Amino acid sequence: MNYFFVLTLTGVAAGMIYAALALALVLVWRATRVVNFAQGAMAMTTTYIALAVIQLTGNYWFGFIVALAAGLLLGAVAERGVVRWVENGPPLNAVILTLGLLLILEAVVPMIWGAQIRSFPAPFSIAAMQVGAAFIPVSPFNLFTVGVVLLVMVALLVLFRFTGLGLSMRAAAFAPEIARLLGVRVGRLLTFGWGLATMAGALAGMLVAPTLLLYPNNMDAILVYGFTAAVLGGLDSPIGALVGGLSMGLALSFIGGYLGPDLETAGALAILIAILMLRPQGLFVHAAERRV
Amino acid sequence: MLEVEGLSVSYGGVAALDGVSLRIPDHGITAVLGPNGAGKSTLIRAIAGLVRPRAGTVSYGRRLLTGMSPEAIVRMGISMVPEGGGIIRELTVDENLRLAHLWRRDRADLRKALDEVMALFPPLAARRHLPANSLSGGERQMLAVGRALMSRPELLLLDEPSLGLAPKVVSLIMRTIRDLCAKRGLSVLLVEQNARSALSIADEALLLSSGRTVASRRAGELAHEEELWHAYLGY
Repeated sequence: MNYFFVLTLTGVAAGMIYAALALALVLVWRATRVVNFAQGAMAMTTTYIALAVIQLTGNYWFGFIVALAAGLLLGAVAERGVVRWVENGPPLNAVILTLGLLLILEAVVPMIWGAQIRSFPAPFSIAAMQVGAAFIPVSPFNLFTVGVVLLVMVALLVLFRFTGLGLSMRAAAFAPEIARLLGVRVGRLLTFGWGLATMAGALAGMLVAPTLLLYPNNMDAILVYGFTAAVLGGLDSPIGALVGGLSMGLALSFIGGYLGPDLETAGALAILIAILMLRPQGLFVHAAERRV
Repeated sequence: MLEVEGLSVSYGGVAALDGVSLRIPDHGITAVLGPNGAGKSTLIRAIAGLVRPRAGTVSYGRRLLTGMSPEAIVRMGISMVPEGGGIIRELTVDENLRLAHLWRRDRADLRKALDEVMALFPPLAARRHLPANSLSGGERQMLAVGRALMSRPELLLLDEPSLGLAPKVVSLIMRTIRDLCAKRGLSVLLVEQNARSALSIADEALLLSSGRTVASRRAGELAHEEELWHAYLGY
């Protein structure tokens, strides 16, 4: 098997996970103009909840659903209970609060479940598939990852483009005061936006854990990759999050494969610095569309 | 009937409105005039729920509006067109209009309301699926007024609808407001710096200066009181 081909396939699979977390960051940014540094820790928390439910019931899908629901709830509570209080303050306050949330979650989770590294079940095999005599470096779980993230993207696209709720959410993001004058209940939509975002994050958490395992800061590196992916996509665009995630997955796979796995994190930071210097508005937001 | 009683608003300790009272009947146009900084915009924003008054009340029919959120006030039948129109540039013309009707949750009426706005402002029909960004200044104001009508208000609050528009467009907008008022039995609160065009269509007029009411007359009478004009409007 061609090495380049192998790296490309593993890059796509990893990229889909970065895309899911980037999507979470984008949804939060669109709703409240806050970068949620706790997004990874929130995903880690919901993944622990999923594990507890799976161990209790013996059913992966039950844990999967509960984790998504827990994400919706955790996001909503974080917005209503924490971020809402500093809504009118300087943007930095909210960002620092999310850092506080990150520290709290990474401290509370090991108190409940312990800090040891745990394995997390996958609904499909994580071993490479065999086609005839050859192995292709893609597992059924990789295909599930790609499929489910694409499904979420399409669902969100439909929500934002074709439904009244999506129209209200876009209006609330672009012009909250005007939206309120038109009868849009902006406060509720911000809460819902955070819930939706944390749900996407919960998905990322469950897609990461079978291969990278579960421990209280297992999402820290993924958050950096997801954040870079989101910035690459312009922070405002769900499609940008997908393309940014895929680009990050491929770039890191090539860096790891050709230059050595130790350079992956450094590579991600180099990409982040390069984007911020060369095209800070991201690849998918036209300068003219941005608010002045 | 909208009743404003002794309304006071301050921004960081500086009074913008100081005990203003006014009544807007269920039909007709009430103009609020005054120089820059007189408190006109603050008055309209306080009625719409965008700023909290320090003292005084706003009530509509028998309901107290003071303390209600803007999204709740819209549901009472009061729509506001903010200064500059406030169209959402990232959305299309069609989306801007539909957005204002969403809370009514009535799909059949949505189509009807859209058709009515398109008939009222034909230039919008041609640009319906373009971003609102691509509209000219006059078209934006049409979109803003049309959008406010989408929620089928009984009372329309207009904040400086003539601001920055060519005289021809101003007279078109004013004529449309007059017609709407006559045909749909709307009641209008019109805040304007352009006193001449506002008085040309208004029934009642209120002159504000430094947050206080200095005159409240029939519009026709105020139009002839030149000393007041010179003193407060500077022309």
